[in-house]
Amino acid sequence: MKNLNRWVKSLILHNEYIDILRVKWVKRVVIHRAFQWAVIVPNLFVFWFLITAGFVGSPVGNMNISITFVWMLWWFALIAILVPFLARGWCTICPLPIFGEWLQRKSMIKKTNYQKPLGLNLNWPGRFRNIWLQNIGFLSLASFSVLLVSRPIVTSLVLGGLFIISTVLMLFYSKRAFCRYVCPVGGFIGLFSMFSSIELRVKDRQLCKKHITKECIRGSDISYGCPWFEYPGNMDRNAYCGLCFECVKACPFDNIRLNARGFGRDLLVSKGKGLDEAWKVFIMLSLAGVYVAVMQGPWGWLRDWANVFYSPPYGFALTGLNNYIFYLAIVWGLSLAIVPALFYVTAAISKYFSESKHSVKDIFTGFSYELVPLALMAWIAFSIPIIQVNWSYILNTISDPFGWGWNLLGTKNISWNPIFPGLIPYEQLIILLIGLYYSIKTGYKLAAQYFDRNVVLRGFLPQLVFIVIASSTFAWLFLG
Amino acid sequence: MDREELILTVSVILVLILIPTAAIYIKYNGKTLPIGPWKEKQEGTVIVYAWTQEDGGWMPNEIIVKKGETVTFVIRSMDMAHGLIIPELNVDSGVVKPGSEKSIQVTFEKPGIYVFYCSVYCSPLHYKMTGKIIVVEG
Amino acid sequence: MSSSKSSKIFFYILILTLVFSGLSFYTNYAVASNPKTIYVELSQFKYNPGRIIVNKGDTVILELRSTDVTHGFYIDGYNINVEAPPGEVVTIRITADMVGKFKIRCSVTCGPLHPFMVGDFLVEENNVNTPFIVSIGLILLFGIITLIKVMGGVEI
Ligand SMILES: [Cu+2]
Ligand SMILES: [Cu+2]
Repeated sequence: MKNLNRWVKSLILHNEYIDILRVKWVKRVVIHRAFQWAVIVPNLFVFWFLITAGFVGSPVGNMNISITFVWMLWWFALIAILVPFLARGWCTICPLPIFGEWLQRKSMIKKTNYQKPLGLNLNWPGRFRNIWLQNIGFLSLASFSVLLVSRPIVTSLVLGGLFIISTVLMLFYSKRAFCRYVCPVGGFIGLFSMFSSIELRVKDRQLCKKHITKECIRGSDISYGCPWFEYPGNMDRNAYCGLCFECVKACPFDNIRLNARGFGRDLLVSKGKGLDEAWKVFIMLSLAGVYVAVMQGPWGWLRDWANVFYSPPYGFALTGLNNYIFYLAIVWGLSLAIVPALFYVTAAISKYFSESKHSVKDIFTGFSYELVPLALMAWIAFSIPIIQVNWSYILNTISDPFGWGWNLLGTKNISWNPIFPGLIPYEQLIILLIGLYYSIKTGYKLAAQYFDRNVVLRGFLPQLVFIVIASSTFAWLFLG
Repeated sequence: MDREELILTVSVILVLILIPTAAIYIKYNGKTLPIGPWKEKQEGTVIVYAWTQEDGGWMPNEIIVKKGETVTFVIRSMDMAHGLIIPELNVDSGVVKPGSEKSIQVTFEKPGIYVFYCSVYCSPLHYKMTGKIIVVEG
Repeated sequence: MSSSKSSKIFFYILILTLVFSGLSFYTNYAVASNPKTIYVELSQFKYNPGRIIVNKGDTVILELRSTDVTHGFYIDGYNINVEAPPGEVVTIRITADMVGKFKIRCSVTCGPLHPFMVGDFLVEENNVNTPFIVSIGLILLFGIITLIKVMGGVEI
C-alpha cells in the first residue's frame, strides 16, 4: 500500500513513468497475435446483440438494453474510465472496424503474407488528413442526439451504419483510415486521450533513427505494422495511437514501452497541433454545456426544440422544424463560431499583454489545448448522474433485454431508486475543480513555452479568466 | 487460410447470424416457446399486453371466451401506464404502471361482444386503444 | 512552494468542499407557517414552471396536474416521490429544510425522453443560492492556489 502511494505520487508529481510492459504477463498477452481478436470478438457479439435488441425490442428507451447499455453503461465507462485512464483503450477493443480489418488482412488472427491486401488499398486523400470529418460527424450525431439516446431503433441504425461505413471505407482505403480520419467517436477519444494517464512510446529514439527496416511501420513476419499511420519512433502524443500493439509485436529491439504517467502531458507537445484539433476542443466544451442544458436542465422548451422528430409516443413525425433550426443554430453556432470567437479574443489579449512574437492564430491554436482537461471533466460531470440516477434501468434490462416482460436474472423489478441524488451537484463541482486544476496547470506551462520569461503571468492572465469563466458557467449549470 | 482460422471464422460468422435470427424467431413465434414475449400463463388465463396505440395497442385485441367461463386477465403495461376497463360489465383494472402487471377475474354470463378500453390517457391515439371480447355459447 | 505542500492544500480544498456540501444538507431550519401554493403542470418531458424557487424554511404546497400521460414527481434528496395521473390533482406539501439545487425527476416511464424529464427545485437562503455563490468562490480560490503552485513549479 505504501509502495503504491509512492508510485502514484512519483507519477503525478515528478514526471516519472512506469513501463507497464515490464510486467511479464502483460507483455506476453499483448504480443500474442490472438490478443486483439480475443478482446474484440466478445465485444463484437455484445454490440451485435445490442443492435438486434434495438431493432426487435421495445421502443421504450429505458426498457431496451440497446439504450441502457450503449448510452448509460458504455458511455459512462468510456468517458469516465477508459479515456482518462487508458487513452485509446476503447479503440483496442472496438468492434466497429473489425470486419474491414479482417477483410483487408484476409485473416482474423494470423499474420498473412499475401502480396496485396484485399480491397483497393488506396491512400487516404491528403485533403482529409485531419480530423475535420470527425468534427463534422460528431456535430451531426449531436444534432439529433436526443433522438439517438432515447430511441433504440435510432441507436441501432447508427451503430449498424458505422459497421457498414467502416467496412466499405476499409475496402477502399488502406489500413485504419476510417478510425483515424472518419469515426465520429474516434475524434474526441483521440483528443481526450492526450490527457490520459497512459502512453505508448519508444524507449530509445536514436535506436529507431538508426534502424532502417522499421518493422513497426512496414510490418514483419509476425506483425502488420502500425495500421494507424503512426511511426512510434517520433510519436509524442496519444492522439492517433490506437493501442493495437502491432508495433510491440514488430519491434525486433523490444524498444516499445507502455507508460503509466501523470495526466495531461501530451497537451504541452507543440508538434502536431492544428486548427482541426483546436476546433474539436471547442466542440467538446460547447456540447458538454448544451447537453447538460438539454438533457439535465429545467428548460422543457429546449428539449422540445431538440426533440424534433417527436410524434407521441414513439413515432418519428417531423414536428416543430422551425424550433429545431434554432436548436441546430445553438449546437453548431456555439461550438463552431461563438466559443472559438471568444477564445480568439482571449488569445488576442494574451498576445497584447505579452507582446509575443507569435501570431494570434498560433496562440489561439496552441492554448486551446489547455481547455481539454476542463472539457473532459465537464463531460464526466455530465455523465455521473446517468449512472447514479438510472442504474436500475441497466439492471432491469439485463433481465429483460428486449422489454418483453422476461425476468432472466430476477433483476427485472428492481425499482428506480437514485443513489444519493442530492450529492450530485457537489460531486460535479469536485470533478469540475479537478478539470480547473489541470487546465490552469496546462495553460500556465503553455504560457511558459510561448511567452518571454518576464511576461508569462501577464500573457496567461486572459487565459486564466477564460478558464475561470468557463468553469463558472458549468458551476452555474450544475448548482445555479 | 489455414484450418484453425477457418474454423474460428466460421464460428464467428455463425454466432453473428444466430443472434439476430434467434431474436427475430422468438419475437414472432414466441407463443410456442416458454420464453417469448407473448407467453401464455395457464388455462383460464389470458395475458393482455398493453402498448400505446401507435405501437399496436392491445395484444391480443380480440379474445374469445365461452359463456359462463371465469377468465383471469393479466394486464401487462409494456411501455406506459395503461388500464383495462369493460364498461358494460363494470370491470376496471385500475392503473397498471409501466413494466408491471395486474390481474382481474371476469365471469361472462351472457354471450355477445364486449368492448374493452384503455382507462389511462396514454397517447394522442389513446381513444382508439380498444379491443373486443367475444363470448360464445359453450 | 514545494509540490507536496501544495498538493496537500489541493487535498484540503477537496475535503472542504465535501464538508461544506454535507453541512448544507443536514442543517435543519425553523419551519415558517406561511404555506404558499405553486401550480405545476406536468406534460411530456417538462415541468412548468421548470424551476421552483423557495426559501429555506418555507413550506410550499405543490399542486401537480398532468396534461397528457402519467408522470412522476421525484425530488433528489427530499425523499418525495409521487405519481400524477392525468385528470387528477395531486397535492404535496414540502418543507424546504435543505439548501441547494435539487433536481425534480419524472419517476414513471412516460415516453422516449422520460429519463430527461427534469426540473429544478431550488432552495435559497434569504433569496441567495448559497451553494452556487460558494462554488464560484471555491473556483476562484482554487484557481489562485493552483496558479501559485504551478508558478512555483515550472522551470522556464
Ligand atoms: Cu393506454
Ligand atoms: Cu414524465
